[in-house]
Amino acid sequence: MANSDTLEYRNRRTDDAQRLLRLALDNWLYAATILLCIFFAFRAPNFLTVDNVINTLVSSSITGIVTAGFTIVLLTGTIDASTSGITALASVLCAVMFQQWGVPLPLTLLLLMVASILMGLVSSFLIIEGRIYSLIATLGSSGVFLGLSVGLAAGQQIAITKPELQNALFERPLGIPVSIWVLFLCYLLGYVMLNHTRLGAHIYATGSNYSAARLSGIPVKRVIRIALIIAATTTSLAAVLATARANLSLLYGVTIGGVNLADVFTAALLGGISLRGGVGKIERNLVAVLFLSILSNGLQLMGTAPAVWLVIKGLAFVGAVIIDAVRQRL
Amino acid sequence: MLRTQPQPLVRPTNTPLPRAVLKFLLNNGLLIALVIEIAIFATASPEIFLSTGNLFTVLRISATTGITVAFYTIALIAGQIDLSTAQVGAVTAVIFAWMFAILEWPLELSFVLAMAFAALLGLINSWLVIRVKIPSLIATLALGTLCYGLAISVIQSNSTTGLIRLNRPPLRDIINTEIVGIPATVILMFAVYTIIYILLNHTRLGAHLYALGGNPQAARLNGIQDKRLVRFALMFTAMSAGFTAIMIAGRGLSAGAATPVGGVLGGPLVAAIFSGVGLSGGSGRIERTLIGVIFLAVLTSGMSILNVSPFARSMIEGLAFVFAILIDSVRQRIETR
Amino acid sequence: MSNQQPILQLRGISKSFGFVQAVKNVNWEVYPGEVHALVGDNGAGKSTLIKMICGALLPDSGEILVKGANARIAEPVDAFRLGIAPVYQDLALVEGRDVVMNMFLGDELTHGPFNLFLDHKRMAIETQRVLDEIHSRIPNVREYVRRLSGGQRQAVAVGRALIRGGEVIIMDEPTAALGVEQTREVLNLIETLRSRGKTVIFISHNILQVLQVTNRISVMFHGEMVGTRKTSETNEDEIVGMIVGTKRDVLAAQE
Ligand SMILES: Nc1ncnc2c1ncn2[C@@H]1O[C@H](COP(=O)(O)OP(=O)(O)OP(=O)(O)O)[C@@H](O)[C@H]1O
Ligand SMILES: [Mg+2]
Repeated sequence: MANSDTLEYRNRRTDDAQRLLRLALDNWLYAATILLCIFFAFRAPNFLTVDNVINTLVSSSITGIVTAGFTIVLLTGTIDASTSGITALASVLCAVMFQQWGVPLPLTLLLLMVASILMGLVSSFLIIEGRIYSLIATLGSSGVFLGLSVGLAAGQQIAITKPELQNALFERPLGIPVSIWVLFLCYLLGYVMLNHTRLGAHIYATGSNYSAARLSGIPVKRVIRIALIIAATTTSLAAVLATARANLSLLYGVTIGGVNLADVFTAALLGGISLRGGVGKIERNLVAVLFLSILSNGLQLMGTAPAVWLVIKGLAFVGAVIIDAVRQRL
Repeated sequence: MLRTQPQPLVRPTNTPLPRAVLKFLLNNGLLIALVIEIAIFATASPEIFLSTGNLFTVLRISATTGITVAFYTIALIAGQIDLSTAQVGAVTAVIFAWMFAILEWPLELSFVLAMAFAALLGLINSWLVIRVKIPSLIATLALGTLCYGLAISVIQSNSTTGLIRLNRPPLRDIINTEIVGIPATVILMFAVYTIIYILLNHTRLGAHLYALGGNPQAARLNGIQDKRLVRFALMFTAMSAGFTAIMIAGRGLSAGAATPVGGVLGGPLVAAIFSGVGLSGGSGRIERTLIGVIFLAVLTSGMSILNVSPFARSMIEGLAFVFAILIDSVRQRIETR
Repeated sequence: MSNQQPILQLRGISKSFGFVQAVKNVNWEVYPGEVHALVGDNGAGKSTLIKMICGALLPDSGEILVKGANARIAEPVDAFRLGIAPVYQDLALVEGRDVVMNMFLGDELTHGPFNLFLDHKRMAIETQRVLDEIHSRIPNVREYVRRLSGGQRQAVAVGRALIRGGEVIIMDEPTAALGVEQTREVLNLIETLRSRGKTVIFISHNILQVLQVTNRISVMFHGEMVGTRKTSETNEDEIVGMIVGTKRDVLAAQE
């Protein structure tokens, strides 16, 4: 019997070790973010000034907003690679309608939302009706959107001379810039939707076991369609913010306004969203986005070359992917 | 006792006529599309499009991406999707340019070292896939980001223009060599496709690649060395991407981080899907890849001859791609039914 | 039969997965030329035991002897080399390839310079020969496995075991997913294998089938081997009793 005792003992020990490892893997991001802040507070000049904090938040807002929608799609077990296409088309549409056609700003935004819904529908049609693997389908729709954007803008960047758009961006309700409001609002809405609505429950169910969800009567196709529409909308929103900041329409190949698929992936994975769907919390994503933004900002203040940041970002992506894989095996 | 009874086949092997026709069309759709495409461009602009000069242009465009796409097809057959080719290519070309143009090392040495570097990147990809057990799609996307960063840092510490100039003598001549009037790269492309055709259809390695992509579990249980195959596929994809990028850089006499391998929808993944290789692994034919590559090259050259606006051009490319993936999904559904 | 040397002998084989001890200290003998059934309830450890014999899993402890010699089976290939050929529960077939390529999966025949090229012709002929041998009616050896019926797939998997030079053919629940007609086809197959002098290990939940085709029956219960009976000297009640564990309790009480 001594044998089985030691076995049990060993099992309990490995169990403890596993729990500890899991705890570490689940919360390392919070610890890392705090440590990073402390480090930069001492080493990077002006890191802890109000201006810089606001700057950091503003610079994280665009990737952050895109990541919110991307995460919701990822939770359904779908990968949305149409980010760059949607960003380009939304930005060009915004510039064309607002600047060239003279559509008033609120109406422009409303029409953009309609366009986003259409873009989400195109991707979901390819995925659901075409039964094409999501990553490829969205790569395809992204190509179509890019083509449209290039054409609408006639291959040019459209300069926006009407002031309302940028003025709206520079508003500071309660002293906080609009982009930060939008960022937090997106995550708040996302949080409530995912945790406190039926749709949220359905999104998690669809992602964790598609066929079980379908068999238990969840309208899985509709869930995926809605998730894609949400992602298209948030991506368009981010595109408008980027357009307003630059007062220029984004042009594919020249600048994509700081949004690229790899950034979004990195943030989502660092935030613990599993690529297999169904696992992850959106609020952690916000932390991940902030983490990346703080890292970038601090390095900049310390005078590091921008290229170093690119390498670090790549390493962060690889690291996030490895951590995700390790977590899944526990 | 138990005696055998003649038993009817569950599924008749002769498909009814409409299905057979549909199947023929789907299986040879790309070839038919290529013929139609050529006919359209030929009627629109017979004297330029049908010239030998243009034939070589088309072939040269094909050769540029075609070699990478060929190896890419191998990876897809083995069930691996590599999203890092553009960045692996860029960083390889940049490092080549650094050794060759800035350090002024001999061409051969620079080339061999750059290719070894590309192979190392492929090895890292396969390590992530095999050891860390990350799906290739994500592993390669991650490594690609890292490579992009590396490429930019090498460029920025050596140049202010975002490009490294490559105008040392022997390079361009070698790349533009012609053998009996045919560009060497074109000959190389056809050689690569022939060898890969034989490899896939007539060697054990090929049989194992198909088996691995079709059912990894079954392949492993039957003693197929899955890890070695994944390593092989990803290393060769990376090396071919590096090779292609060095060729493009050499022709353009400069290497940058955004060494393009196609237009808006460029990239070997797109070309491979376009040729109907499919993403599920275990199926796909290399000859179809070649047709797909030529199809896209004809599209590129035809549109530039006809002076199609960039708007229409990217739209057409995008739509053609969406159309190709739709066709592929229909074909798969019919085949598995 | 027991005076013969066992073709396969297990001594003290154990295997656990974390908390679950799937196989506990199993001793077991299989003799040449017999059809030997391995039965037991769900989770009794049959598949786990079989996988260790086939090199798909490594035992935690214990040894495996093949024809009296100690064998190290770390990889599926090692088992093939020793003449042990499994027919896995899920058959391990590649659906998108044809019958021939599945038959020779991982062990393709080659010819030409340096044996570089696949010998498609000889593989097709061999495939046809083996399929004929087991009286299988697959009309075209170039057919994709995807298009075959369950019984036909079973024949492909068994054919592969034979082509691999299998002396001991191990079949894990070959009839589980099959209809009446196809089940009968598989039982015929076992019969054919016996008449060819092969040893067959047959896992099934269907006691009637087991009583019908086997020479001996071994029962596992909660990872342990509780006993082996000659089919001619036992009956359904005894076997079922051993499977559900009542027999074991009685034995334990007696001791
Ligand atoms: N890879 C694994 N990881 C963890 N546990 C496993 C694994 N494989 C089997 N087990 C466990 O080992 C025990 C024995 O499983 P096994 O598959 O050998 O049973 P079985 O007798 O074949 O059952 P069945 O008749 O249902 O096929 C079960 O409790 C099972 O859950
Ligand atoms: Mg079993």
